[in-house]
Amino acid sequence: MSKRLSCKALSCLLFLINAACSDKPPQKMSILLPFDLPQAVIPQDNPLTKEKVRLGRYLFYDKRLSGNGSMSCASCHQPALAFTDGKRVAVGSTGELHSRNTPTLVNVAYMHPLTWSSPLIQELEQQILIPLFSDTPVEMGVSEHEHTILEALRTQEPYPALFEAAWPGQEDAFDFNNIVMAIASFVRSILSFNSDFDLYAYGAQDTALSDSQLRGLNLFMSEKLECHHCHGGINFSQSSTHALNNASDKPFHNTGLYNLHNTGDYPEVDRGLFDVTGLQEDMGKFKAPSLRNVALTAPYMHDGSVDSLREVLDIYAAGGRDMRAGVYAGDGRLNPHKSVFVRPLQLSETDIEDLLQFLHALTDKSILMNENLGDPWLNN
Amino acid sequence: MLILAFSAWRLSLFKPLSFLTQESVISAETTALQLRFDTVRRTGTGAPVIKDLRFYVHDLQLLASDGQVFPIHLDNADGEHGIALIDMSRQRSVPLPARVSSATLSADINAVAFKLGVPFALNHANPLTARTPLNESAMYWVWQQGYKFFKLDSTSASGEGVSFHLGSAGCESESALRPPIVECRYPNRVSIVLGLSGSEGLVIQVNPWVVLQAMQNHNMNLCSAAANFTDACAAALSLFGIDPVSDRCVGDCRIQQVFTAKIMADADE
Ligand code: HEC
Ligand code: HEC
Repeated sequence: MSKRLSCKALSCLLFLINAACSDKPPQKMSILLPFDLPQAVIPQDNPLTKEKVRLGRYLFYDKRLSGNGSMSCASCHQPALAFTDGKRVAVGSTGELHSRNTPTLVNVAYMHPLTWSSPLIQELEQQILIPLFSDTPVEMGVSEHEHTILEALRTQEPYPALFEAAWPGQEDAFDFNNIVMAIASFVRSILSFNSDFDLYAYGAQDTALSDSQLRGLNLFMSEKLECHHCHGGINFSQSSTHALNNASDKPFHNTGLYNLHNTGDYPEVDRGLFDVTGLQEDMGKFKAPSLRNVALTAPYMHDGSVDSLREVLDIYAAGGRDMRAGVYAGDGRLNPHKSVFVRPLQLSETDIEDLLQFLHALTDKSILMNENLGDPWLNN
Repeated sequence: MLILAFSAWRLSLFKPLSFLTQESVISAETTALQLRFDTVRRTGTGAPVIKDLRFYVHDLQLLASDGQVFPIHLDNADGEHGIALIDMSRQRSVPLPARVSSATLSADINAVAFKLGVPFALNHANPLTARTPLNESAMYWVWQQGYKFFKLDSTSASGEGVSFHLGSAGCESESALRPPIVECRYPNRVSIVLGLSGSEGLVIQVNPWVVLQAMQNHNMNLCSAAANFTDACAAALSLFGIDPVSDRCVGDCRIQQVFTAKIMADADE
């Protein structure tokens, strides 16, 4: 296979540009994207600055930011796994199991809405409150430990200087609103456009994809498979938006993974959009996740119930998942709420192999070791 | 009309109730009101242990038989909406210093009313920059982008955690980048009206046990959504007067069973 991972000239990614000199107040930063890609939309009340990104990176990797000091964002969003955790479902700081699989954070600046199924949570500043403060289940368990945590940060180097640089002159910058804004800023800087697919699609390098990967790409985009219908856009998710477009209204779909009691129900622990809206038609609807680095983010689906990409493709080929046994038995292929775009496909063994090869071409290895994104405490 | 509906209930005739006494008159205009919240006592083996019981109330009023409405001003509540967070996790009885118009002294007060929850206008703002009592992080209901109106966490006799969280659900924002500007599909903001009789001090009793019992009957240890979401939620919310089908209060939530008003002498001490 002709893999070209050389990183030269234009394809060498993301430079963080900041017009400010160090003695000037922080200034809005713009991220220079390769291939003239459109910018992500950044909320006006939290402009991106280099100072906030730097502070946010320390916070993202800091276990002090949890109720019992055992967990940081990076405990679940690990850079080596494209900011996922390799677990079926996430495990919180007190050992409680989440009902959901940890999604990637790569290019999440382009994702609206956030989480697997909430139409309400549009911005990172809102989303980040969940791991920090939620109690169903407890993730980082910050609730009612805010004071202790802030006191610990206040005296921890290099925070005093980092907070001061991010909010110069603010009387007391150590508060959770600022913490959330800084983490959101760092998360927005987790960007990747250096996969073989990017080199081929945006970089116009004809040799970046193998023949098999090209066949897989064409299948993925074909009317026959309809994958792109839900997995379109910059992140192969209909929920990806950027400065030049808008996300679709209700980017949530039932893909026929369950069909409890043949009534179309999903397991009560997680019924997707239905749990937010209470509308029967929203049963089992989830966001089409980003497929960037998908080869690194197993297991798959909202509940991590599918172990491999091969199995994901088998489910799509069958037009849903037929669970013959167990508490969740039921033929998902017949789920009445299933999207019309998920239906039995005639896929040959070669087709499946080509699709797999294509999905592997979405991996950007440079993101995994990017020196601007790793754990800053290790170098201290 | 909400208020007229109560005239039928009343007993004491044009005699001021004694939780408002002449001694409590603060000025010609205002009178101190002795008000407190109590948890209904429950003893015996096998009772769950309550770990957290907190709820928001606002818009408290005394209602008179002739239809007059007297707002109750809470001394420690913040802001124009007079929202208070009643925290019964550590104590069974929570006094709530308040004052009312002195005109209540000559009125035939026959009910106390309040709303359980956070007003819509304040429910969906950034909680990190909110003021007391809306800055209480345990009450953030972040996945629904609002507050828990009523938070009940307990441990059953067998050591299992059982939680019931009430708040607005089914909210949709008009624009992707704005909080909801139209009321949520399931506001779950409950209007409580409690009839009164007796003497000496007003006590509002809250009964978490019926809620836990309802959850236990349905073998569920978490209800954190709206009424029609699960059978356990439906059963628990109906105790607040919320109908599982319409997800609205039936008869102004008057059929609710969680709160009762007592007069101090009658309340179990
Ligand atoms: C206990 C593991 C865990 C921790 C700790 C954690 N997350 Fe997550 N994260 C998850 C899970 C699980 C989801 C999916 C949640 C859902 O869909 O409801 C998620 C979702 C997200 C999303 C939404 C991604 C998308 O595409 O919709 C973002 C952004 C995010 N987390 C950022 C963070 C940040 C920042 C932190 C630290 C403040 C953090 N997470 C801490 C497990 C975790
Ligand atoms: C109707 C919209 C839709 C179509 C069409 C669709 N997907 Fe999906 N895809 C989804 C949704 C929604 C999920 C998450 C489902 C869940 O977790 O319940 C998903 C999940 C996945 C995942 C798992 C990703 C992860 O990180 O968990 C992969 C891989 C995937 N799809 C690939 C494909 C391929 C390949 C095709 C074409 C054969 C395809 N999808 C067609 C909506 C769709």
